[in-house]
Amino acid sequence: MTFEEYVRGRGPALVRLAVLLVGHRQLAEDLVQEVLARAYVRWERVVRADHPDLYLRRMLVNAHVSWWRRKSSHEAVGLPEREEAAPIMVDSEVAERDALWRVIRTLPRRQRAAVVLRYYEDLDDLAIAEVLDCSPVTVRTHVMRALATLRERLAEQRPVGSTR
Amino acid sequence: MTQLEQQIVATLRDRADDSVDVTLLLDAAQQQGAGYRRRRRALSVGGGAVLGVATVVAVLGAVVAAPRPDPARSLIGTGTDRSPSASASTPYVPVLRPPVQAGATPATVDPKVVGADPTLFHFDLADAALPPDALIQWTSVDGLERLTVQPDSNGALVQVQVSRISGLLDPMSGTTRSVSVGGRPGTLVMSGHDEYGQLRWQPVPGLWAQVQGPGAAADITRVAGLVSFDHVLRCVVPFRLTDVPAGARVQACSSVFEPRGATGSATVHIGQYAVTVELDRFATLPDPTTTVNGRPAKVRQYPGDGGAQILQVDIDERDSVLDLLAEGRYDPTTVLALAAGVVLVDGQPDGWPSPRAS
Repeated sequence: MTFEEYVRGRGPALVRLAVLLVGHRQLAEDLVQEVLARAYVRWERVVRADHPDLYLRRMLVNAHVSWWRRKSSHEAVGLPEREEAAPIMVDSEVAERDALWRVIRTLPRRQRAAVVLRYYEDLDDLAIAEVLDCSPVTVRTHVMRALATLRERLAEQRPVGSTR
Repeated sequence: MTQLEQQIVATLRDRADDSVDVTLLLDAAQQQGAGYRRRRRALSVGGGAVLGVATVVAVLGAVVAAPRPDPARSLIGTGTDRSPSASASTPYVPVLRPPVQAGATPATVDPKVVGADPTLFHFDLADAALPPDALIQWTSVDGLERLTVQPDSNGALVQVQVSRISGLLDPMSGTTRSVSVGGRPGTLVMSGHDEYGQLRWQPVPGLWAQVQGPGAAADITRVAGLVSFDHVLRCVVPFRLTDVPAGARVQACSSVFEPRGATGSATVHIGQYAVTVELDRFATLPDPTTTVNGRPAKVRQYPGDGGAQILQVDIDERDSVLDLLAEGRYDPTTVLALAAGVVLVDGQPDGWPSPRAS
């Protein structure tokens, strides 16, 4: 598989994953571009790995913490943590998703990554563990704590009397 | 799946799903990757990668011309003797490291010397960790001295990094464990299934060292024990820079050794830009568009990282290509004059010069 074939096939998925990790489209594209550029330099080694996609996902997840810090410290424009404008609500479902997304963005990065990899990438615990470079038990712990946090914070946001 | 989990799935899909311009992503990644490749001077065996920069966007009309009526010639001049490259007449004797700089202060005596002069390396790695058939690259840039060992063109890299600033070393992530390197405490991180490790320690107060590469914990620790800091090596390159503007300084230097030849690169900082000069062995220059000092050459300008223009000058040196890459707010005339002033040096690496900006 050539680098071009990989990017054309999997590049969009990496960007979408990065969007969920970073929370900002433009920064996500920048991050993916950086990770792909680093993979490009060593592409022969990357494709020799059993699962290039796992390799790239791992690069992406690992890169985003240090990259984020560097980006944040060098670009004092407030962009990374800028709160996006609240969308116009068309129904309660959209409003709930918006609220949930805002809470997901507050999760610790490892927890957020575990949630994204499980519920968006649909990876099992073992695959997530390989990406996060931890044990499957740790993955389950991350997800459990994330779910507990989400439940708790969503409950705090719901108006009194809400049953959901 | 619980209701909350279903909501999470829907929310994440909502947020993530959007169109992605994959062509733009591919082009940007390739260009940025080419930039990384150049900056790190990770010469591929065969040297052809240097010519692999994908995009040539603009042509310097004032400089590039048909091979004979070359406007740049008047700027560049023709008096410099461009001697043939070393491989033309002198058999190459493989070496693993640049020459020792006698009389230089070693890091064990004063750690502050590390990174202060990009033409010096204040560490060494024993032969036992330097396979003779490997691609071995010694680099100093911006306060970080680095050795990269690549067993073959596709092999995994082993790196030694040395700096006074721990933040310049590659970040370590994962579960740490304590180890000892030469009696000094160190921190080891293994990733994957204990198949890749990073070991960081302080050989002397004020100095950080890190070894990283594939292998078990014992392998990483063994390599770290083979790093020494009691003598100094001199970065050498197979060329001299004879036409460098006043005020320029050497920013980075790299000496590269492989079984069939050696080469090197130097980055010179000039005002608001930098020019990296490198001789790529065993390379050819296809489709030259102009000449520099009578040699077939190609001059290209294209967007680099972040969209800023890069100026690339490639000059055919028979069995090698002299490559100059200018980044920043460069002056094309100055860059071309610098290119014309590069004089190749024959002989073995021990006799090569260190880059000097003046």
